[in-house]
Amino acid sequence: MNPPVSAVLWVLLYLLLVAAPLLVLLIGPVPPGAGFWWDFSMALGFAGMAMMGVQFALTARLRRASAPFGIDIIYYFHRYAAVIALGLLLAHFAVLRIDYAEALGAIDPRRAPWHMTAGRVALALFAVVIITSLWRKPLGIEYDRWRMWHALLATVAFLAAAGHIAGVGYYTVAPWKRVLWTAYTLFWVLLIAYVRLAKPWAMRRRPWRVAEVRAERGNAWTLALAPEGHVGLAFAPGQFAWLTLRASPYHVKEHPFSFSSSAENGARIEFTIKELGDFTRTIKTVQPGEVAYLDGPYGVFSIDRHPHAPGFVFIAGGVGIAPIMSMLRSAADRGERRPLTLVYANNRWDDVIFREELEQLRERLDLKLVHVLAEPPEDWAGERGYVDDALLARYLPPEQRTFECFLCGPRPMTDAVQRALTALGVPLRRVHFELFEMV
Amino acid sequence: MRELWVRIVAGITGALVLLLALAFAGLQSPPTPVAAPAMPAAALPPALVGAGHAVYEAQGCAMCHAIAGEGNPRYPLDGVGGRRDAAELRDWILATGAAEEALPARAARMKQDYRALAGSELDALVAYMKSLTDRPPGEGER
Repeated sequence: MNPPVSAVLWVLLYLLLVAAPLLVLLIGPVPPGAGFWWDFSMALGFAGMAMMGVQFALTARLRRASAPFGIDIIYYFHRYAAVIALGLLLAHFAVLRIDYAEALGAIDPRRAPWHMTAGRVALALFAVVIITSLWRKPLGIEYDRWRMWHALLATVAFLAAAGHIAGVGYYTVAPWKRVLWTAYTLFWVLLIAYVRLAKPWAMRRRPWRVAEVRAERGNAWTLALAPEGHVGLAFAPGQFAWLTLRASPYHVKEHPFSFSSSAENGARIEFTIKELGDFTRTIKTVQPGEVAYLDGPYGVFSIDRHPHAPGFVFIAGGVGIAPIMSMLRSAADRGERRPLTLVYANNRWDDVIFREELEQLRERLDLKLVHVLAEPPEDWAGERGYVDDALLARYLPPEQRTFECFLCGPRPMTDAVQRALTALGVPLRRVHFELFEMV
Repeated sequence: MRELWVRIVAGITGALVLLLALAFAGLQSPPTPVAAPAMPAAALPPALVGAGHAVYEAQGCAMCHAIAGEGNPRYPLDGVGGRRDAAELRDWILATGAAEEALPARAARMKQDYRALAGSELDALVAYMKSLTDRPPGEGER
């Protein structure tokens, strides 16, 4: 199926899953109404719960479902959807609080019925889950810890909310509706089990061994992995995988990294990782022979998604070169003849990752290579400063503005380059980038 | 570009869900009756009715019932005093006798708690229920 069609179908499926509970409640014998605002509030509660349920599917990394969009955008959506769902649940509560305060009963859990306490707990936990995600960094929460608590609290909140609905029990009193609602709830619980148990189990059965850890320029390290007892994985250049090192896949201590090696060799794959945080600082201490686990490949940031493009433009900042290097190496291995341009921004010349290999790739590819340095040496004759529209205009002649553009670098840079490309008349649909670092 | 699509799909989802919720509420609910305050009947001792009202509040009856628009509108009690005699009211409060059969199992379970009430409290609660003779305006005879 071609990507746009399957994308539309997946979006429709999503909308159906979100709408399903309300539709089911409306079918068949409906209990008598109790006033517009009361029933509206109940509907908001069910709708919020349905959206929260589907949240588990959005982050289950279902490869088929994410393929047309790119998993990064699914996570991005997960974020928006969470805020909308919380808004619905808060509105559910607010309507009752304003119009039917007596019906909420005591707040004190010792006096309140358990299902009302469950509802309050669910609402509070959902709020905590979302606040700690939107503002993880300002709150100073460490990533691994955040991930564990995020999954745990979200699950507890969901189960508490399911308990709240079962306890109130008004709409689900008809046996078949109760069965349907239970099945719907159970589906998400099973999905959690799949993600937390079945998937790590499958990863354990396909281990990788560290073949080499190689120092690169700019405090970066290349980690080479070889498959252990399996054939490896086939990926498209530019894609990424979640990497687990020195931990069991069940511990969910994994981090996403782009492949930097050629996609033509799935039996030895490489990641190029810059020392930026707690985990990335440990890469240099990894020894050959250590076990690694991979969940991937994911992502739509790839030249392979655009087989008919007349050429490609790559704009990289620092270690953002990793996925682009994978695309260049793959292109060279495939004998690519189309014109390629790489605008590569760094602070210092000595920190330019893959500096030498990029020179060599020029012999195998029709590659225009533009280095841009923010802190150039005194004798530097090349481009200096930042990548802006004036610089891009110099290297992108108008006929090349129909090329597909791939951006990878720090967020301020990709934002600025996007604006610059737009100013040059490059349509947004030709500008590709991954959305990393959402939390 | 993809971010824009995310916002569009998120917006569509939010709008769809809100529309469905509105449709749900609109289909289910006729216009809400505006309730008039309940008047204690003259024959009942006001002190007893007052005590019953206090029991009603202390027991959190409003979590499942509404009187004069206050509380859970699902099961309004307005006019119940005109429909049921004291013995029936007692049965409905305790889920005993004929009421035990008529009530859904869940509701009957919830009402078990009322069996722990002191006799005087139950009498007061029944008197308070008996005092609820006013139907909300707009509702016909049942």
